[in-house]
Amino acid sequence: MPANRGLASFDNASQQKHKYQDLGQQLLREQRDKLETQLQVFQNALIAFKKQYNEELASNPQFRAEFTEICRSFGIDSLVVSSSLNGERIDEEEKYNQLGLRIIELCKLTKNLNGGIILVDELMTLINSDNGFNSAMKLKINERDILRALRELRSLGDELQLLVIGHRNYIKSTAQEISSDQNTILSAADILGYVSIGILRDNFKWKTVRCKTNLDELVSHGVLWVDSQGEDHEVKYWITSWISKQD
Amino acid sequence: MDTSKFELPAIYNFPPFFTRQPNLQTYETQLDHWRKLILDYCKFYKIWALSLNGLPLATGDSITNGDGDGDEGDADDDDADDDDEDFEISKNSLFQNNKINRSLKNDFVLEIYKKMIDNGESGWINDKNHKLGVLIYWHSLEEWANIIMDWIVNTGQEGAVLTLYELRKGELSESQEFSGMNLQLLLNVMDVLSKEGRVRILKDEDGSVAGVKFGG
Repeated sequence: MPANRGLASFDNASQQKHKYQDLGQQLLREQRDKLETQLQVFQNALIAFKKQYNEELASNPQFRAEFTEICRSFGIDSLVVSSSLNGERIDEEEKYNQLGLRIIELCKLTKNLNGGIILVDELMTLINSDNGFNSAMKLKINERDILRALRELRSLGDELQLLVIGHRNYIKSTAQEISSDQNTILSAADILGYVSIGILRDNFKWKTVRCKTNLDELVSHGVLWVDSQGEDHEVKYWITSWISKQD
Repeated sequence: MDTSKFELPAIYNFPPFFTRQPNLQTYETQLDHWRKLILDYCKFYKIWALSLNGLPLATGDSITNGDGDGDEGDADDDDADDDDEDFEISKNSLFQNNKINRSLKNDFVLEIYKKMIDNGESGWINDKNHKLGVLIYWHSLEEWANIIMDWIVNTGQEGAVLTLYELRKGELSESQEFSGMNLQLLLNVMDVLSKEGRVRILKDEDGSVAGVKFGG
């Protein structure tokens, strides 16, 4: 077939360009798929390796450190690797160690947002949403796991504390103490997401100054956020756990 | 999932996110979230410039000379052949969340913009008239400079002279990330390249930029 000549050849050029672009995108997609498959294979290989050399890994700290390093350098979550070996006693310990580390990390990461008080539910969602490359191996950490990991961490110091507000479990990573008034405020805030001086006054028969002092203190600790655009022009004080509770 | 729509972060529906926080640490966190949101949002919709109230500005084919009251967001865009898509989002400002009925106050917006400018993530459209709004650098100027130079090299155009129009709207650069770039933003990028001696800016008699010679 004769090629388009004259002006018509321009049509051809732009057609070709589109074809090249399509081809380019297709190649990229294929490469990405391939890479994903390879990483999955690799992750499975690491798990198999870990099963095989479990005892040696447990008894040889240097070997273990190197193994963890390999996992990390490939962006493979060591928590995923260790918790995929359920049923083997030695890995239970490892799993909770890893989970404890993850909890500390997340508390630190979110501290500026929530003042160092985080709902255990929220922590769980954060941990479980973070999986490796293999979607079949999703982490399924439950509240019991977190509380157990927290107990194990206790032996390292009491940096993290379990805090019960209302009927809900929180983890406190700040040195600030929460007074019983403040505990009352936070459990009330859990219902609507916020409280206001009016709400506290009406529900707990507190004097305004008692409401204000406690609210201000919680704001200064970074636990409550101030919202001055409410419909009734009364300042609202919000808890950050509300952010992850929306649909 | 609708991939043509930007997915707003959950904190965007948190009412106090729109009130400047009195606690310094919380405020810093709040600023970080706004900065990141603005960059992600503009990158997603290819918005090059924002007005002071958060509306996307047209790509600025006519260089703003500082006389306009650009605080209304409808930047003067009298170039008839400019085929800017009619942003559907342009009716809504990112700084106005109708779902929860909250919006950012102007002085808070300015604080966010200033922080972004300090970080090299933004720049005033006109240094002498801040009302015109800001350019948003979802890539830093340095990164844009490299992206454009890479493209020049990869397409064998070293030593070529290109007009700014060709860079922004030319058919060759159509598939590039910088295609459609705001004119002032492109000039800022060219300044970076020129200072590094990687391009030479060619000017008309009247001082306006006629073209750019790549490769010094």
